[in-house]
Amino acid sequence: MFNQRSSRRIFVAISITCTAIELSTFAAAQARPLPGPDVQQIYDRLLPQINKIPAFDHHAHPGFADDPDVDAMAAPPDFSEALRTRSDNPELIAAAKALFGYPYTDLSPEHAKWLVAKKAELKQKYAGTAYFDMILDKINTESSVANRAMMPDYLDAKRFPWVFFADSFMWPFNNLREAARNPDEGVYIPLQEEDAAPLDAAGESGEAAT
Amino acid sequence: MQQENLAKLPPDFDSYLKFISQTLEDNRNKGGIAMKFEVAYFRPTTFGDPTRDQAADLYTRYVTGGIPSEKDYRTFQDFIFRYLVLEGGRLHLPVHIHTAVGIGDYFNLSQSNIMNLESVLRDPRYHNTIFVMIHGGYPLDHEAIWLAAMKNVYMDSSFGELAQYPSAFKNELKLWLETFPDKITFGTDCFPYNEVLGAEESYWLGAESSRTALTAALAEMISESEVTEVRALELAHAYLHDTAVKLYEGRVH
Repeated sequence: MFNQRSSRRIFVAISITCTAIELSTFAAAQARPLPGPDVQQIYDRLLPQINKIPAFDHHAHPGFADDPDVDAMAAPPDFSEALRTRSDNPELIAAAKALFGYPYTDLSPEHAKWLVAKKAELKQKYAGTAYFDMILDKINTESSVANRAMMPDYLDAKRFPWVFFADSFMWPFNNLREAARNPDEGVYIPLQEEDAAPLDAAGESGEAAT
Repeated sequence: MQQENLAKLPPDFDSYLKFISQTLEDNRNKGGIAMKFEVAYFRPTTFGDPTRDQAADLYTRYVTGGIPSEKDYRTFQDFIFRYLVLEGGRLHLPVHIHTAVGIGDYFNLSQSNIMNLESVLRDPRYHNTIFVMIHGGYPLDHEAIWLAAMKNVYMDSSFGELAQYPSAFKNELKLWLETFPDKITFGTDCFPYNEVLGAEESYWLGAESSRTALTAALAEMISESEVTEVRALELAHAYLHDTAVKLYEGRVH
């Protein structure tokens, strides 16, 4: 008979099993404050496995440099950039080598022509949305958010889900004072107005959008 | 807003709010999965809590012209921001907010501190809205991870992996993995640099930096007996893919 006592035993057994399974995903010993000498070996063992995980890029601004809709913003004039985010970061040459087989160790204007030509060739070969799909494949990214003002026809919507901007709803009025606050705002605010051009309260650009 | 093809602002505040909601719905129908704010570039991220009547009065005052005072504009914006956040919950459009330092010599770090958003994030009225803290508050990522204690708040690590070298970014990720590992997501913040170096190279650098820093963080955690390798790989899957994908209810993969 399935009485209360046997039921309790089964419950205890299940609880112990579940706890054991749960604990097995954590290390058994008390955590140590310093990594051991095995950390490099663990890293070497783990990296190929982590490289195989297809990624979802939760924030990105994909697009070509001449595409004004890559962002709702634009870089202000003559601004200071942190070291690693500068376009002369030599790691970007490593990126060009990995993605395109770039054969040089610098980005001199003469050598840069090779990279521009190579990309143009690949855009022909991978026409339409195939070019950026190919880039995602190379870095093992399954999909990437496209945080852009508008979506272009050269991004595959299935792999580049759109995240749109909502700031311009907050600037529907005359923004002369806002834009005059500093040189950066002088760049940013007009772009917000452009996004909301049909809604210019002052009526200065109150034409329907095209 | 251009896609709505409106010739001028709606005449009254209710119509303006309807216009906002309609645009959000249209963007969602066009494939939009979330809305994004870069508001920290334009004003402080401390948001007041004005009434609808206050915002409506301001709309009536400025809809046909006139330059709002800074105080009036902020009050109006505070209401609109909160309205958009509520609509994000209703329409299942997660709200992404830029929370890091920004480009430009005039970007005000203290007025854009991620902690300024705490009163919005912890407001029970918005518990149906999913918030994604884009860039994880960098360089305040150490404190910011505790905002992920809220069930509807997630931290995105993008830009941290580009602004820092992997040895430093590893420390940020390790702290996050040790605190709320189920609330953190991967991103590159890729952007085209110029006509030669494009979003392609930026994607590569972001992905490589993130994967190597993630591996280093997990290797240390394994070596320090914090997690097993099995658990470490589960955490890697969650960070690189699964946690973010779950936010969009089958709309992304």
